[in-house]
Order: sequence, then structure tokens, then C-alpha cells
Amino acid sequence: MPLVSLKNVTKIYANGVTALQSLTRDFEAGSFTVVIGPSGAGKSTLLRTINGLETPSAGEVHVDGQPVTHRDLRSIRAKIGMVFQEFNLVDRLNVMTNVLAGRLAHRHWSWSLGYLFSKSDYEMAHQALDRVGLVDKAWSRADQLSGGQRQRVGIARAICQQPRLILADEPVASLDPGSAVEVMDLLAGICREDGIAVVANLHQLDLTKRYADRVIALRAGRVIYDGKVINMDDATFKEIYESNKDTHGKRHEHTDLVLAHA
Amino acid sequence: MGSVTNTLTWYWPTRSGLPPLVPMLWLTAVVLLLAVTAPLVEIDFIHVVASLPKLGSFLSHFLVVPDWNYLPELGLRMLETIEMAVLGTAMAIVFSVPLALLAARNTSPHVVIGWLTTYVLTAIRALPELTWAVAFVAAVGLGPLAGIMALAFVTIGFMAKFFAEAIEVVDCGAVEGIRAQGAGRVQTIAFAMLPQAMPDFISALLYILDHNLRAASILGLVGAGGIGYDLVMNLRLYQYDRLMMIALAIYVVVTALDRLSTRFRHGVI
Amino acid sequence: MAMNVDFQPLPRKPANFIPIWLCAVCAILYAMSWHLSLSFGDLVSGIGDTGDYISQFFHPDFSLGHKYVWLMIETVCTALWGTAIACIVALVLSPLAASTLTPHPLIYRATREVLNFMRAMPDMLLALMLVSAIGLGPLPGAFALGIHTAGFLGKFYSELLERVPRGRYEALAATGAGFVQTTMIAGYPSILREMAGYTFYIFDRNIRMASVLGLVGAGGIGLELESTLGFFLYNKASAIIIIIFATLFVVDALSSTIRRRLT
Repeated sequence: MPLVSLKNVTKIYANGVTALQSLTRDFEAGSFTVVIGPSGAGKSTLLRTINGLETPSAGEVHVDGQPVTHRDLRSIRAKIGMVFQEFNLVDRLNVMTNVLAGRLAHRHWSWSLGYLFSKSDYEMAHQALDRVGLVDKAWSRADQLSGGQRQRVGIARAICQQPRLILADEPVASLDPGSAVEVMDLLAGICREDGIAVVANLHQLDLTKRYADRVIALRAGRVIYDGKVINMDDATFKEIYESNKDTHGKRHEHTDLVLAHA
Repeated sequence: MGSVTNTLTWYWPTRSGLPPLVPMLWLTAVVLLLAVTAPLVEIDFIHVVASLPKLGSFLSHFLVVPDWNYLPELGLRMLETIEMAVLGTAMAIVFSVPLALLAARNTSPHVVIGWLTTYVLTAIRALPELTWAVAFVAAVGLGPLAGIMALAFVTIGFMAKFFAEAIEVVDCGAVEGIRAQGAGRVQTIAFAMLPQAMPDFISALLYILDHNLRAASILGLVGAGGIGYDLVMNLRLYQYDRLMMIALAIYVVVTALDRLSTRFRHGVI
Repeated sequence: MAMNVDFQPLPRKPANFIPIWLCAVCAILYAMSWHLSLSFGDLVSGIGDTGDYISQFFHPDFSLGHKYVWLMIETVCTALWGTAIACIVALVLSPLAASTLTPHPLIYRATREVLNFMRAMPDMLLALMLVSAIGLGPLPGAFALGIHTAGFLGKFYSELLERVPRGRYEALAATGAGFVQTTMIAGYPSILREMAGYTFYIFDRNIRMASVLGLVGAGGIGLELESTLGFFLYNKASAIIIIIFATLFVVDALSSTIRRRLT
């Protein structure tokens, strides 16, 4: 049984934009999948549909055999960690509390009124921080960290959940190249060593080639490529981005013209 | 030619050189409104001019030696005033946080509840402390209890509104970050909303404390405790030596709190 | 935990003073309520008494409605004039009290202190004194509101003027413009919208205050409210309160619409 399966998932936003068009795909446990494609192709929507941050307009999403419905959202999200482009940490809380937030799905709300966690939660958070190499920053406030460090806290928060799957929505888009490689190494390590599946959105071709087991290319809400990254040669890549160029062909021509004149 | 360039002609920096139409219309409207309403407020030249000497002679009464014997009682009364302001504010916090959570658009359990709460808060804010103090004095009798209740009541109206506004502008990213971990409604509020809104909360709290101190100093006018009672009595008895001390004491305490809260704001936020 | 030995140990947790602060605040609050000899029981029974008291207000008597409406108009006018006075005073003082614009640091300090003093004097107290100085009526009320809120508006305006990028003032000063010219050309035009917002907020607030100024004889509907309450004429008092509420709702809606259109 696949870990995540999407059946005919369509998402049309209130403003009429179609982000996903009848998408059917499975994601296996323990695999590293990278979703590529031009901006606005529906990459983020795909990820956000899996953990119920977006509700599909049509179709079904199953995680671990369980349908993603409003009622079961908590237990489903407990199995899925999420890493965001803008980190989405609570800036005014310290790093430890941000990581502990990964345990919230397992704790009754009344505990959270007093910001209480169990000893085992603290151990898991400690372990997660050790994994991302930020133990010495545990008591610093999240807004005092650099971008790369914050993203590692975001990953620690996801690990602390002990999830089956981590969704990474453009995890390196706000980072410098050095930090980007660090973050990707971490995600790949988690995937290989702990058998946690990762689905990541990326824009960088080099990173995709280096880390992905499987690549899914999206354009205008449809899958235009799905396969092993080793089967993917430069021509295929070119094709994905050529097709991107087609949609904006006019603008590109215009730019070329201006450049020629210059 | 020379005569033309030397003539002083004034133009406004607009296309036509005339004053801009819309602002001028507004200005005229405001001036007209003020002119029409002036008689109602008894503002006319003669009246205002005639009252100036009276004001002068009134102020000259304050040039007296302070009544130092009054100092201990003044201190006690000011302490009572400060205590009323602090207790009223503290009581209001307890009610304001839940009401703010009900009123804020992003935490309200239902749109209708949000609207209702907002309306109730507006109604509470509508009348100043002093009016409520009259009512509370009639209900619970003379003394600081009525004053504290009036302060707390009106403060809930303001504080819950400010808190709700602070919650509404909380960064959505952090909220989503917590929600994506599988956090429930209460957990999202505790871990994403409240910590992020805390600086605004403290800011509002200090502003309200400042306001309440001023308000508490006049509640005594209707017998609701504090320095206001002494103020009225001494004014009736023409004891300007004491009045001066009271005015000074209020000024000193309010200014001290103002400075302290500025310091605190910079320290905490 | 044997498993934990492999991990880098957590750094020492910094001391968390929040519980201590909370305890201190609670202790102070308790001491205060003890000093005022209040008890929780008093409070609860007080809330009950208030409920009884308020239930007497459920039959408003509008037989003198036209009188109340007229008084309410007087109240609004008092607030309007108070705001106008405050606005004019603040327009003059705020550039002097803006650190980036002020002609001299000493003038800056002095103006700040004057504004502080005006803010520190509660308007009710000012009204009380002005009434005994120049007699009963709305005039002392308007002046009291004007003086008190001039302190607020002056502070708000000067803070807005300080937030204008310094470069704009410097550009003007570099052309040889004087203090008044810089203020008029670079200062006020930059902050007009925010100024209007604050002024409306103060007007709103002044109406609320004007409706109680009558308690000390400074005109408006407050005196009527006070006397009906004093004579236990709850039906009449509730009519007055309803009129005040209605006015405030209208003004609130009006000012929020205008503010929204401005920003």
C-alpha cells in the first residue's frame, strides 16, 4: 500500500485559478520525491493538499490508508511533518519550544494552556536538535537565528513529530547556496537513515539531480514528467522549461528583441 | 516688462494657480460648522475675553504656600487612586483575553459570535468610566469598590478590542507552521497567536493603565474612591493650598507612570 | 537514559524569571486589595447588586426626548469645539516637539514638557477648575477638553513628524528653507492622513467625555443624567443613556467610514 495516494485530485481556488487538474499519483514510504515545475504550476498546492492545509475541490487523498477529511485532520497531520519556505517558526518563542511544537498533535489541549510537555517530549526534541546540530541554540529565541539555522529548526520540529512523511515546500528558496546544501543533506539523511519519505518542491536543477529518487514535473496543474532522476537527461529538463517558455513565449521574444537592439 | 516681473502675484502650486478645490471645500465646511455651533458652546468674542480676567484671578489663588499638614493624607489618597487603577486593570485582563479570542476574526469560533462580542464591546466603551461609576455607586455604595468595578468594566471594552486587533494581525506563517504539526485550535492559540501578539498586548496594557490612572483620579467626584473626592471638597471650600498640591500630585504620578511605561516598553519589546 | 549519552548535552537553561514576576504581581495585587479592604465576596455580591440596579433601567421614558436630543447636540458641539481647539494648539506645538524638526533642543524639551502637563491633567479636573473660574456652561467644558486633548494630539502629531524620513527635511533645509517652511512643505503634507485619523479618534473620545462633563456643570447632557440618577428617575435616565448610545454609534460609524476612506 502506498503511503500517500491522490485520486483525481482537482483544486480550483475561489478566484477561479485551477491549481491541480485531476491528479492521480502515489508516493511510496521512504522515498525522496522532488516536485519541479514553473511557479504557479501547483507544486505548493499539491503538498498542502496532502496534509489538509488545502481541501481539494474534487478527488480523494489517502495517507497511510486513511482518507484526509476534516474530522481526522489531527491524526493525519501527526504523521506528516512540514517544512516551509519562510520557516514559519514562532519568532518570539525559544528554539526548544518551537521544536516541541512538533509534539502538539500527541498532547491534549489542556496541557498546552500551561505550555506543558512530558519528559519524553523533551528527549525527542533534544534528539531532533542534536540531529540538526543546534543543541547549543536550544534556549535562544527563534528570531535571533540565521536563515539556515531557522530552517534547521523547522526540520527539527518536523523530525520531533516522528512522522512517516515530511513535506518540504521550497525549503531552500529563502537560503544562500551553502545553507541550501546543508538543509538538503539533512533532509536526504533523514530519508535514507530513518526511512521517512520526503516530498520536496525545488527550483534548483542541480539539487534535484543530486538528491531525488523520483522527479515529478508539473505544469498548469498536470503531471508532465514522472520518473527516476537517472532516466532524466538534460533534454527532458530542457523540455520542462521549454514548455515553460512557451507559456510566456511572447514576453521572452520581447526581451530578446530589446537585448538585440542594445 | 520690468513692472510685470516685479509685481507680487501669488499663485498656489496647482495647475490653475488657485487653491486646490477639495481641501478648500473641506476647510470651509469645518470652519462653517464651527461657526454655526459656536453659539451653542457659548463661544463668542465678548464671553471669551470677559472670562480671561476671571481665569487669571482664579489662577492667582494658587500662588499660596502649600498646606504641608495635608501631605500624609494626600499620599494615602494618591496611593488609593493608584491601587484602584491597577486593580481595575488587572481585573479587566482576566475577562479581556477570552473576550478578545471570541471577537478576533481569526480565533472566533463562529462569525456570529465574533460580531456579537464586538458589538457588546462597543456598547461597553460607549460611556466613560464616570457614568458607570455613578451607576456602580448607586448599586454597591460609596467607596473604591464602585470605582474599581467601573474602571474594570470600561477597560474590558477597550482592552478586549485592542487584544483582538493584536491577535488579528498575527503573522499567518507561524500560525500555519503550528497548525501543520497537527495542533488543535487551543494549541494554535497558545503556541502561535498569543506569543506573537504579546508585544501588542503589553503595549495596550500600558496605554490602558496610563488612561486608568487619569480616570481613577476623577472617580472620587461621584464618590467612587480616590483623590477625586478631596479635589471636589477642597474646591468647594476654596482651599487652594491643598488644591494646588492635589493637581501637582496627579501630574507627578501620571508623568512618572508615563516615563516608567516608556522605559518598560523599550526593555520588554 | 543510556541512549541520550550520545547527544551533545543541552546548554544550561537560562533562568526564567516570568514565574517570579507573576508571583510578585499577584502579591502586589493582593496587598492592594487588602489595603482597600476589598474581598472577593464583595465583588461577587457587587456584581449581583449591579444586575438588580441595571434591571431598573428597562423602561425608558422619552417624554422629555426633545430636550435630551437638544442637550446631546450641545454635547457634540462642545466636543467639536474642544477638538478644534486641541487641533489648533497641537498644530502649533507639535513641530516644536518633534526631535527631527525642532529649531532648538531646549524648545523641544520645553514643548514636550508642556504637552506632558496638558495630558497629565484629567479633563474633568480642568473642567472643574474652569467652571469655578469662569462660571457654568459649555465654554469651560470645551476649553477643558481642548487643553487636555491638545496634549494628546500634540504628542501624536509630533511622533508622526518624527517618523517622516529625515532626508525630506534635510532636502528642504538644503534649499535654505526655514523652520516654518520645512514644516509646511515637508512636514504636514507627509502626515496628513495619519493626522486626520488621530484627530477623528480624539473627536470620538471627546464626545464620550463631553457627555459626562455636565457632572461638574460644564454643559451638555451630563448634568441631566446626573440629576435624573440622583433623583432615582431611572426611566428618564435610561432614555438619556439610550440617546447617548445612539449618538456614539452614529459617530463611531461615521468616523470609521471616514478613516477607512482616508487610509
